[in-house]
Amino acid sequence: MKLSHILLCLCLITLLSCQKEEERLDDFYTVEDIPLPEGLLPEVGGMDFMPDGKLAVAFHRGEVMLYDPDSATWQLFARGLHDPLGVLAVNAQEMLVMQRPELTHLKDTDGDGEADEYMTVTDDFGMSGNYHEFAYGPIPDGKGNYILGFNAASNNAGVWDETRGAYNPLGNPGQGMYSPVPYRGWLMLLTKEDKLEPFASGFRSPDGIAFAPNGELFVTDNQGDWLGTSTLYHVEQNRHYGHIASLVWRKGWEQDLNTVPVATFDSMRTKAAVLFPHNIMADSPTQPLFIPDSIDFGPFGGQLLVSEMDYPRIMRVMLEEVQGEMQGACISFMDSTGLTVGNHRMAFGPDGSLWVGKTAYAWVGDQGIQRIRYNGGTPMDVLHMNVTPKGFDLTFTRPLNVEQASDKNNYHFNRYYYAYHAEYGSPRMDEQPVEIRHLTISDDRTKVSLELEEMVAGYVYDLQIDSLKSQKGVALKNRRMFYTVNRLP
Amino acid sequence: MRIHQLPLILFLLLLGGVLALSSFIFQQAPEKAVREIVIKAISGLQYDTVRFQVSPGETIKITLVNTDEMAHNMVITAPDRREEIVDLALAMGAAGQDQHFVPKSDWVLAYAPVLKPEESYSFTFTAPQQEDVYPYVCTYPGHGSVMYGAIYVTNQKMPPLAQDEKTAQGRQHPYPDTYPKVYRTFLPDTGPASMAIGMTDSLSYCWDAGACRFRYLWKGGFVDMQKAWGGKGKERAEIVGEVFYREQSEAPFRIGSKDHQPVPSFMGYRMQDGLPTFTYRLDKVEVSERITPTLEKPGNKRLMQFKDLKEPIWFVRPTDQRVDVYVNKGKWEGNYLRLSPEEAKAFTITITEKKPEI
Repeated sequence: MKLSHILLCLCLITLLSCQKEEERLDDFYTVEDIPLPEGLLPEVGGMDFMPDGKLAVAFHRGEVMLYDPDSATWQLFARGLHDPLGVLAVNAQEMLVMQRPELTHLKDTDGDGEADEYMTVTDDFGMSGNYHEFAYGPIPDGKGNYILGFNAASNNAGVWDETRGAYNPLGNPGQGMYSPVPYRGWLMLLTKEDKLEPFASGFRSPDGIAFAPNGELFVTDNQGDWLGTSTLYHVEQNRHYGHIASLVWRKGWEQDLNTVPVATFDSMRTKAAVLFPHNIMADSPTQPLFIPDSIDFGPFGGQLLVSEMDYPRIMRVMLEEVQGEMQGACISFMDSTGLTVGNHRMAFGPDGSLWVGKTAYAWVGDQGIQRIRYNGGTPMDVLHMNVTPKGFDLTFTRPLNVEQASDKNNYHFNRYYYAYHAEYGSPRMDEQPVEIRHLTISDDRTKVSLELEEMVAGYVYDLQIDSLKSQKGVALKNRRMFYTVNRLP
Repeated sequence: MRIHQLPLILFLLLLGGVLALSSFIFQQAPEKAVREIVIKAISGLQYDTVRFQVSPGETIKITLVNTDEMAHNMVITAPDRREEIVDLALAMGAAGQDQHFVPKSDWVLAYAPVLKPEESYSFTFTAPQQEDVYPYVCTYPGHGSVMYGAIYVTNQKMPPLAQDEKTAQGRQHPYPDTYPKVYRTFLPDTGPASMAIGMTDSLSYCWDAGACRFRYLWKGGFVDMQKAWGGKGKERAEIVGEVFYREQSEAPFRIGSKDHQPVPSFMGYRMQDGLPTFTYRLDKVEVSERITPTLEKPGNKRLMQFKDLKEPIWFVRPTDQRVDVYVNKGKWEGNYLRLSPEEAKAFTITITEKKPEI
């Protein structure tokens, strides 16, 4: 392209954005690809910013590399790690990396830029050799402890003759994912004294773990056996979250899992805070990450983002506590804006931009790293979705066009639930439309209160809005959201 | 909206001005400066640049920098003539030195002469009009089969590097992948928490961080990671070469009594000159183990250090008949070598391949 053409394009782009600022919705956030060195297989397992502003990234082939955003250059920090799936910066020369066999403290002691110490923090958990026994973390709780997560083994593969950790045949119930060695399907607490203790059970693939700023713990899991659809759990110590295989490592457990009735398992579990409807919203949710209040990333400060591997999407979760339990709604945050699939790890940079590392691991996914910048302004979106005794309140980021917003026919609710059973996934059960009985708009035109014909706990309420604009004519960016009603207020 | 009109008019005026100016600049612009490509010869018989792209007819400046400890040159050849040029260079024998191992051939398009370590050399190269892939190769004897890259003379996109057969095979990382190296991965005939250590390009061993012990030693290559990295992690890495020693005992070191098998606990490793020194606990005793290759015969030497011992230790005699075992301290009692706490502070175990019987 000739220089004159480039300039013409630039001028036109500037011109368009001057005239139609409010209609160009994607301008609120822009996505760019991060340059990668040749020869790298850029499948990202872990990502964290070092205190000196460099991004530490762990890749599939076992290397940890540092990216300097100022100079756009990469340097090697460590190599030879086994499927590293988590990085946590300690200081400019040290980091913790979760690899398959252990949590490792990497340290560059001689200042040459590359780690020379690979010391084990903990390897006090089993490995059967089953490929699906991925290990995640470490996620700091802010009090000096860390959470680590351990996948269940896949029924698509067996265990090795030689395992690390005691083999328990009870952990292999014959169908679905299993737990042949400790503590597969668990979240573990690594104490300040480096002691690894069981924390919570019932996970299938706890790849995404995050603490909220207030100390609450959230973990994503994947559709599969005992999981009708993908989930976000609010995790509390000593609770069980539904996938049964891990139970064999509970203290005192001696039962054959095949002999326990499903109703008993059902009564033992804590349900998901938020369900991500399969084939619609998410098939493979990964990292949860809270938007810090301290950075300007648009109107969603304090809310939770969840990356997603199978769709070109990051989800936004609107949480609230109802009757002492956490629940809420999910909605998309970044659809069709240049974001690719494979979204696995996320980290906010010192400048407030959001970095997204991709992976595939031979599943659906992608490679590379993308960076999302917030360009200012207020996108037109649902800011909050709150459950009420008879329906929902929707709060918008901008004042509404009242004519559209007050039209009941513009809103369509469907409700359904997912079965809890040993089978893989679940169809949407008892799916029914729910009529809107009454609608009111707040005086400031930012809130729509919807009263429904029926509200039942235990259902996902799937809301689609046909067409909604702001008072100034900006179209609603995301028009479908899903509220998981565990409890009614 | 009225408020926007004035800036808009100003903007349009400015736009017109910029466009007029830019087309003027474009027409008057002098020839672009010649692009420079810097290629380093690095250790492990490699160029740091495995390939690059130029437009047909484009003239570039190529600078070869030799950062290696060996001499290297660089010859650009006609498409698909790399191997023939390498063979011709080899055929020049010792006399080739004076001609920088660059054979007289129409297939040699340009070259940098043999450079000693730390030397560099620049030359210009005008890409042919004919779109194709033009190899560059080090024709110094013995280097040409692995040390080469590819110039893509085209305006089209290059193929993905992972499937690019025109570049030197085996590049799996964005940094020079030289020996020694450590890969933690799933390996055959060991525990799941093991690692492969390539001490040299032809001598490697497996160390098990679960059981905290040496597992086996092989010669002839390292590991093939293609399947292990290609899928979900299901496949084990393949050993390249021939295993010539396996340590059979599940607990090669006994503490306190020769029947007592201590409980292992892995503490990690420190890298020194590219090789790890492992530290672990056997019961409560801290052990360090540094493994280096032997020089004359295929094998390795382990420097063992047992810290703060209060009682003797025993080393179980390896039963693999394919090797010679030598320990520089202690006393054999049948199949057990007894080492006093003082002796166990630092001793070496040397394991080398036996000479094949005639």
